[in-house]
Amino acid sequence: MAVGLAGMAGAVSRTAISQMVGYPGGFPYGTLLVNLLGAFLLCALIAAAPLRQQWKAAVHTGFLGSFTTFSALSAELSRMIADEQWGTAFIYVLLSVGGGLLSGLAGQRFGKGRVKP
Amino acid sequence: MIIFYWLSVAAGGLIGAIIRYLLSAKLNREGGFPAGTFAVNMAGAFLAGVFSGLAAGSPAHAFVISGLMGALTTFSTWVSEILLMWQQGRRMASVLYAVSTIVLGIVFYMIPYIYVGA
Repeated sequence: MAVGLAGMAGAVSRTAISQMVGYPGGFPYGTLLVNLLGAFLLCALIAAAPLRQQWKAAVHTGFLGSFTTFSALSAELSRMIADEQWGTAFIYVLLSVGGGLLSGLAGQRFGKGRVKP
Repeated sequence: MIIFYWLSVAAGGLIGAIIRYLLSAKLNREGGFPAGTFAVNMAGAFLAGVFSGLAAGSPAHAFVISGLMGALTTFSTWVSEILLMWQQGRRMASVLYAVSTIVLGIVFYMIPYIYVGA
């Protein structure tokens, strides 16, 4: 149940941020922002491990899992390809995957510095 | 009714997160292939394609697309799994997992999307 409630909060925050950022210039900056931010936070939390087991399920899987999204990324990429916007699709996939991995690595580094001895 | 819109997102998020949690707990193997995460991401991409005709801004779109599919699928866990596999020395599996999720995600969304004819 905690996972579900946290997932609810994650989905609402994601949608709110996505709508606030919107699609300036026709590019899905909202999805990109939540995904990169979520990857950073999750990897930082995994590395620092400050949470007990029952909180991990809620925060890691529930909140951050729902805060980020893969379906929107697939949808936006597919629509760019369907519209033959190859350059935009390439930039978007590069920023999402490359940026996501770099965010995750940065999160790990940030988290490792904060592990309790 | 703006409140109804956000309640729809919340209800979808609640259900999506629980399904993902249950499937991940059942299918993800420590040190193995994260089949649970892979399955929810592919299912979410496919169903987002199926329901791609829903009007943006409608409560149905809020519930299914923003809530349910958004929460059923996950990007943060996917990134953490790719990094972990690579750092454990399972580099081939890590790259394969990353590439197959992206490519098949597009394929799974595209097939119903074309049929819906949006």
